[in-house]
Amino acid sequence: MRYKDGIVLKFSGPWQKAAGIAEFFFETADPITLADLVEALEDRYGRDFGSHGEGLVCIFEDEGPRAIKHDDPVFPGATLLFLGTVESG
Amino acid sequence: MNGYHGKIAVIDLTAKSFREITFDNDFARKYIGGSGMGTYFLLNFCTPQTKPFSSSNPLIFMTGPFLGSGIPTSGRHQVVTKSPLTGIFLESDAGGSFGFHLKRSGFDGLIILGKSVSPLVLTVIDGKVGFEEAKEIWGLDTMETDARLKSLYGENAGVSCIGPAGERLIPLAGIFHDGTDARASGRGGAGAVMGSKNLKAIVARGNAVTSLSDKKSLTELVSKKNALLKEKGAGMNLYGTSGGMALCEELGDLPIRNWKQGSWKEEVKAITGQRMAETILSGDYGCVGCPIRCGRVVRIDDRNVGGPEYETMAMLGSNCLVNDLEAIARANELCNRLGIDTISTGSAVAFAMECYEHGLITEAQAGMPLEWGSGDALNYLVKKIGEGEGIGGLLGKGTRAAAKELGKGAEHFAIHCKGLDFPAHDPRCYKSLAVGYATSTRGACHLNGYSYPWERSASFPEFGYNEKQDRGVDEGKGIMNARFQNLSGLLDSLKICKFPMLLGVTLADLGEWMKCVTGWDMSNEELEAAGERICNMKRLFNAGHGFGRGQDTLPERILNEARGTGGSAEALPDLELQLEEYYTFRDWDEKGLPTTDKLEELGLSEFSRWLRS
Repeated sequence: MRYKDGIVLKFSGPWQKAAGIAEFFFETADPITLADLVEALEDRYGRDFGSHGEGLVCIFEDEGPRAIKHDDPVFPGATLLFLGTVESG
Repeated sequence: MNGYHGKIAVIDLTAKSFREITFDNDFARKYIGGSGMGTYFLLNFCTPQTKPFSSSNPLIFMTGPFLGSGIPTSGRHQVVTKSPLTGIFLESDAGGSFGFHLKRSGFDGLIILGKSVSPLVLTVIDGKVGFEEAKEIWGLDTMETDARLKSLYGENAGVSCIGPAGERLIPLAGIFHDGTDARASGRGGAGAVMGSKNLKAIVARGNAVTSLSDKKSLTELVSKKNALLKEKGAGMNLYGTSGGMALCEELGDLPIRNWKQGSWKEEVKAITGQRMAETILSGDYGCVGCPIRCGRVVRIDDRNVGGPEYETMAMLGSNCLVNDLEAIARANELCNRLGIDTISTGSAVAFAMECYEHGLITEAQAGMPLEWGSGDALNYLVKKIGEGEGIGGLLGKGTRAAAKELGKGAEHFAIHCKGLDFPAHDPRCYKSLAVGYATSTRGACHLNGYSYPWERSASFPEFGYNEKQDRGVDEGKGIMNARFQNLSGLLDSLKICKFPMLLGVTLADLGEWMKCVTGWDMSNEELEAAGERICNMKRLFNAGHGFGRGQDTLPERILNEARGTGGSAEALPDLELQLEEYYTFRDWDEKGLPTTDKLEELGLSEFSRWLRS
């Protein structure tokens, strides 16, 4: 169950540009806070990664997206969306 | 016939009678529905001499082939008429659920003519049209009207109605749907046309369904695309369209201080969708068939009502320097209850504040000080406009007419094209909007040629735009906006929202869906050609009113005054360059009008009389 051993990260807009990829599987067997996750991603993609975009990150569940804060834990098995531009209509 | 009932009701309110028009596959494939069919009937039922408030001005409600099919975001409908605000072509696209109920009633559309001698509710139920007295609900606001009619006709009925502003023929009045959630055909005064006919509301209900050519394949395609849209639209679901406020400010797109100020970086943070989510947001709302659900529900003064979307937040907020979220939410609710367009109302309030600043409107005239940034002044003016009282009587005519009456240079503060006020995106930021606003048939409109998202973030390979286009460049934008006008013409006829096109739906997807619904094999070229045909028809209507190249222009402030600071500090559009490109691409003549050869190519020769009107 590879999916349970980590978190699926989907990058859009400036996040995707910074990471150079649209999707990444972050391996972890334990919950991790969003702040720690972003720090780990900065190690991988560069210090500017966390400053890209509007800072919009959410957990994507069957019932739809749910916004999370920096101190919130993210559990293995989750899918995280790093959102790009929010369309303004 | 798949996808359509093939039936439109032509209703005479004067005689309280109706007849049916039927149409076939050839007609449907040519004009599609919504905007296309609506414009076709407007060209046939209206003349250049028809006055917007005359009984012979048709008020047209049209659905499209995708309605009721489950295709994502296809719960929309189109209202088409002659505008009392601009005197020319008007169409207004609305979401919500009314379109769905109208199609379930057994008709693809309604053409409403005549004028009732007393207030009326029109019922369109299971293929029958009825005329009911509306004296008891005349005077109620849109939310009260919706609730009252649903208590009579059931929660499974769709209600389309006007508020007090429409009853008073205020040119900023729209037509409203879905009660407290307040979906609107807001722009251009269609609500005042409805009021001029003494028509308070339409109730639609029924169980009629249209057949689908290939339901199984459609279900599979829709299921995949819904999942994609849910994921790609997650930001819009979380924060609504006003989640884009801060980015719009950063890029120099957001209207600030009646389009005069370049930046508002700290202040804007108080009125973003993100801030709304932390404070007054109590839920989200989705139109029928929409997996994105960008609509907002907010709790203010112990009520749950529709919350401000981006256009409203910008026009009632930043454009008036108001950064009080609750004041904007109240003003939004007031607009929706009274039944007025939040965009043009925001423009009128900003116009009044600038006139007040320059002494063209005094405190005595206004009834209170109209200081920039005052939430009290905002709500005061919204009420006055919606009720047509005092200074509101002047502002409710729209900024073009109000400026003309005031004189003394007030015209400089009226930011409109052809009488329709600017929506909340700046052609100095996205150059393609310059030619887009200038040539838009209903007046300034970002949706008529929905091109700017492809200058901001999205790509559209089917038009050759493999990456986002440089928003600061004029070259190529005449062609770009013309092509996206064609696409908008198509979407407004299929009756599907424009957002899916930013989130991964392609022209080829539309073709596949069309095949599943109707059985027709429509190539990308045929689909775009249908959009082009519809754009030319709309242009013809205005040509009949003497409109051509001379009216395709922008306000002085947008053409010649840079924002000064912010993300588009020095940018100004080269409109002439863009127009040359645009007319050439369209094969229009030096007057900016379709040629008879072009009309023949598009199968529109029967309407060439509009060129000679």
